[in-house]
Amino acid sequence: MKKENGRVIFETEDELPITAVSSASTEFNKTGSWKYLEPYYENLTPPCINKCLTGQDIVTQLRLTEEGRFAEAVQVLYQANPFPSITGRVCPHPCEQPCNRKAYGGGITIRAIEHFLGDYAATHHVMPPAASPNGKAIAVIGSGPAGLSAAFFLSLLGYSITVFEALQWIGGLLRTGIPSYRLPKYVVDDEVQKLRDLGVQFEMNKRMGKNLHLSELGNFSATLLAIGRGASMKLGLPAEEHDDVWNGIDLLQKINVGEPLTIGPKVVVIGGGNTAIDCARSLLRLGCEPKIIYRRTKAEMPAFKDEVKQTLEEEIPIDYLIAPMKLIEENGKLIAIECLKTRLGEKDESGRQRPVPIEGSNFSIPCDAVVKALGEKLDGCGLPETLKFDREKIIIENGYRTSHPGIFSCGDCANGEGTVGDAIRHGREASLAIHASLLEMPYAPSLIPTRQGVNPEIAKFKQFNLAYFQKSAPPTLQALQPNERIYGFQEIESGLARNEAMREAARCFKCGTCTMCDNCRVFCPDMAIRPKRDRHSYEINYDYCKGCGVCVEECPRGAIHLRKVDVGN
Amino acid sequence: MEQALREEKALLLSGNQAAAYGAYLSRVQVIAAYPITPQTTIIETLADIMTKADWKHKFINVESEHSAMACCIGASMGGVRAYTATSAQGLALMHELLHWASGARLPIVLVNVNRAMAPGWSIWSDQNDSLSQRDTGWIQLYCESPQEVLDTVIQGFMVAEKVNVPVMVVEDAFILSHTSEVVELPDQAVIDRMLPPRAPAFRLDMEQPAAFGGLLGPEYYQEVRAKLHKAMEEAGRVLVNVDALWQKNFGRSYGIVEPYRCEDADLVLVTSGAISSTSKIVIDQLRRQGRKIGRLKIKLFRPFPFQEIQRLLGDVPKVAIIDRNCSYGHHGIFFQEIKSALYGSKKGDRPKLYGYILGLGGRDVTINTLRQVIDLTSERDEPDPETIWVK
Amino acid sequence: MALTTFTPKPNFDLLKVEDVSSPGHLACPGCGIMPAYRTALQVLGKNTIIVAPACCFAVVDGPFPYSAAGVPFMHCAFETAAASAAGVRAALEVLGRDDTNVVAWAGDGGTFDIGLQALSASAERNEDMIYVCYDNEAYMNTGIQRSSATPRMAWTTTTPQQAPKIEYKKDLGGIMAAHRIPYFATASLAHPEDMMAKFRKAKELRGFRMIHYFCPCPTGWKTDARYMVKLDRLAVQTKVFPLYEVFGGRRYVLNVASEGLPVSEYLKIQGRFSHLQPEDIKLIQQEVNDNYEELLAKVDHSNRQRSNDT
Repeated sequence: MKKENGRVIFETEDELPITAVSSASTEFNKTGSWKYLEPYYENLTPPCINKCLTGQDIVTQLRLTEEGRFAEAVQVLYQANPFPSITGRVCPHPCEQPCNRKAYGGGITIRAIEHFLGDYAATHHVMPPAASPNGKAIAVIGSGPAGLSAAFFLSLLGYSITVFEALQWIGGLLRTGIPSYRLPKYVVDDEVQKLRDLGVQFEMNKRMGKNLHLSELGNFSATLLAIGRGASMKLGLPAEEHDDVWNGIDLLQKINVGEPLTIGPKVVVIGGGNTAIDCARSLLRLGCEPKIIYRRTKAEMPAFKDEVKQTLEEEIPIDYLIAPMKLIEENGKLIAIECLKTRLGEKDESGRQRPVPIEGSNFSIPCDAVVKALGEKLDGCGLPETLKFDREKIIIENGYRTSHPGIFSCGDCANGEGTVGDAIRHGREASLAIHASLLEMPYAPSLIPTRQGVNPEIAKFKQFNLAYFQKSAPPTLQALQPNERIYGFQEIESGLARNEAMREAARCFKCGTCTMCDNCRVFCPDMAIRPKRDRHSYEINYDYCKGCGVCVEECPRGAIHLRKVDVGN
Repeated sequence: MEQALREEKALLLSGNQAAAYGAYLSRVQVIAAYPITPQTTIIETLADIMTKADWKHKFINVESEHSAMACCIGASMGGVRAYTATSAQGLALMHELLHWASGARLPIVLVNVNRAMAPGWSIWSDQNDSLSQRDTGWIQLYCESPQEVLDTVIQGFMVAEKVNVPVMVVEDAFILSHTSEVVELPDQAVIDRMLPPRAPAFRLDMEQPAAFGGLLGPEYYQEVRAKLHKAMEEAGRVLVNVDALWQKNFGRSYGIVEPYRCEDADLVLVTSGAISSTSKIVIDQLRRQGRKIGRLKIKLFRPFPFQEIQRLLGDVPKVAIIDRNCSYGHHGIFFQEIKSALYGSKKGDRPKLYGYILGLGGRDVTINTLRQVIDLTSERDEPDPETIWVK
Repeated sequence: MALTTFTPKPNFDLLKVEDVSSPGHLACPGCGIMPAYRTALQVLGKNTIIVAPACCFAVVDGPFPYSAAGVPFMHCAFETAAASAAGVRAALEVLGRDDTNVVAWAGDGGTFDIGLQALSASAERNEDMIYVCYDNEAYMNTGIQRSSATPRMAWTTTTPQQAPKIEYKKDLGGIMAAHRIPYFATASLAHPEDMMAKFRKAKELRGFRMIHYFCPCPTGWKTDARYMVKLDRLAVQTKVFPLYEVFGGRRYVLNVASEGLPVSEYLKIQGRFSHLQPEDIKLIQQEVNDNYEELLAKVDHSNRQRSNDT
């Protein structure tokens, strides 16, 4: 008796057993030849990840959070975002908007989990793995989120980093712009300390063109400008320089750093962005009676929706379709602002309808002060002449390079999108760009390593097998009630408890992502599925797979797909 | 003999009791049986005497003969010595399983008490039940006395386990099954030497897992069945050796066929089962009258002893064959078998074969019945084309 | 950049052990036999003997000289699974191998129909075995003929659409409970943990234990192979095949509360029910409801008995 490819061959009759004794394995029989369809594994892109401003691997974070492996979840976060305790509080979380769970009990509160993980990282001092120094130094100008993000990633790449900050406080808008009820100052302190722990040096009170010049930066292999947009837009009205007329960001800085302040009590805040909202709500907490006027309608307000909602909860009036016309003084003191009503006209280049003043609709709003929160632009003073920039932004090319050799730029000043999340992503990408440049390698926009090989197709609800999920609602986020919060700057949201975070992470579908749930292997009638050696994924033995498609049907989250097999004729 | 009885080396046993003692002395390990008249006293006796067995065993009171054989097959497949007994309808119900047992080459021993098939109901002896199982691949041994039944059960295991073919030991209903005579019990120690614990050729073995009895395709089936056929042939030779060993140890021999005063006979009566004993008396009577008449008892029906038949009957002018059975639309079954065995055995004259069917459904076969057979044979120069049904 | 690698914990708790059985077996795509067999063997281990009568599994295991089972496997006559297994058990008992699991693995034909006599007898004798009936509700191996496990109104080749089966499906659980066997349980592929738990219980108990497994058969039920598990899930969710256990023939436990989805959800994905009219579906729904009510009543009764006892 001999075997050929597992097939038993009896060479003589004597070799045949006396009865039908079958002791050879059926493995010789390659049943894979039966199939005309074959399954394959391919992770699809979860909608949250597609929308994440910083580009985090949210699903992996949640998988680890679900298992209580918070430190590892933080490490995954660090691959894209060094400051989860900040973004977990202030990011507008566009990731949550397309969540597939919305159709099955309620979307996942991704930001709240990030908030939890950020706080966990801070309280447990979760640090990214230290890099060995590469001997090169890089100067980062500006300590806002973009600069800090770049400092973080560049130090993980082995560079020694010095951050130069024009003010006496580190953090840029994180410290001077965002009110404490949204982002407590200790959170920023903790994140700055994390950078110090990574070896990042900070030099305060160093303003470009004033006491910091390019010539002083010769020792640095590269310089990254992340100076944000420090100049406020102007109303273009007479008496705009009156003492009772405030720039929103200046006002916020005073409030946030705790400088003495005399304003109000009646304050009109002009604008519809986050600065306007922050100013109005901060003023309310200082005992003022703020009122917001905006020349468009609520729908066009660029402020975060949740912020607007909370503003209204706090009973701060927002008057829409009003444009300021004139500041009215009496005895050197501002007493009112004269306005015109507007209507919405043609769309402008931003896609929003342009407000058109209605002639003769003049009216006055009595007030003691006016805050201009009309948006910010680049403060170009002090920038070297060799650097190309316009009134909005520093001009950058592919790879975050400015027109000046060796100088890179990122964040708001380089046409960032204005959110903290965008600034962080800019910081990361710019640091990779600098790194590539110093290695004289081409710059490729970074991808999160764990998401490589993932199909960019967005995983859809209809691809999931709901039998494996319970319909369940998200946790109720604990927040101060409006009447509790308007008397101080106490943080409004208190974040999730450990168990809540785990439960909520478990509720996530992990859209389009194989989680090794083992359904496919358990149900495969042909034992054709087994985990790969790395135990991160499965492999299909096409020699035996009959193409029944049970694995595809029973994959809870749409990570297995069927394709036709060319069976010829 | 009295001495032997006193020392319990011999017992007054019916054929059925002997069948039970034969199993006991074979140290059977699993018995699965279902009661049917006239087999019942076999399993009753066994149920009783197995309580004295000092080896591990199991007696399963199944719900049918069908399951009895299924249990035996399972047990035998598990590697132990399995035994059952039945009769008539019970054997017929087992039919499918008889094929399973032989096809799986399992050395099961079954005692069948020959009983006529219904309808109408009959509990009395004839051979149609066992002979209907002719082609199931079982060795068939027909006995003529309780002693032979006991000995043959043990011999049956010896043969079966040597050639991996199941054995059916056959005895006549009531005439043997319920009639007692003194039966010598072979010494257990000697039996144990002759029949050591079963060492199966294969079994359900966790260390060497295999499937038994799976789909056997046309490319193999015939060759595997040819091996069963060869094993059957081998069984005859093995039985001859076993019988010789028996003769040596116990002074008893049965042969696979037993000629009685056949030398110089011009007429030989062919018998099987209990009639063989009666026929000896008839032969003796006729020999005293100077008639050259002999008798050939056929013990081994499967494998059929062609050579012995040819050797012993080839030169006899007339052969009268007694069939306590009928293959309806043909002849008596022994008649057919002997005829086919003699056909082509030699050139020239072959014996004239006279077929008689008698004793069906338990009708008494007396000395007179047999003399009638001999007379009918002597009277005719040529056999009738039809088998004669003797009253 | 030094990036952390991490290993999300794979959910291997369910089936940790290596497979005993081999691929290359002859089951149709999407057949439920092997997944259940694998599940059973993962619990029972290699110290197991399988006894299988004529049924799909006898073919699935492979032709001579091949076998996918990985453990000793005895083919037996169609009607003899329980009797043959009893014989095997007897041999093991004699040989002192009481630790070996003897598993009769038979289809619905070999259990509900032709094998019922031997089954009943083995159950009555409380033979020490696990009897698994994989019920695919017809003679599938011979090409989809009606059995007494075929549900009412179903199409088979011997109950064509013009004359579908009008008789009830035999209540196997009721029959076995009436034998007062130590353990009877129904099992579904859609609930592998439950199935494993039941095999574990069966393994730990002695005497006659039965698992009635609702075995999806896409070929015979005329549906897509990929619905293998879905069919079983829907059967549980629609109360067509509730998951329960019976201890000692008297104490009923419901394992999975059926969600009460309408039976049409289950019926509509199967070609064998494609001829049904709304009134037929109503009839089936009524029968399913009645059966489930009866089961719940037995469960309630058991619970009351127990609370009375304590």
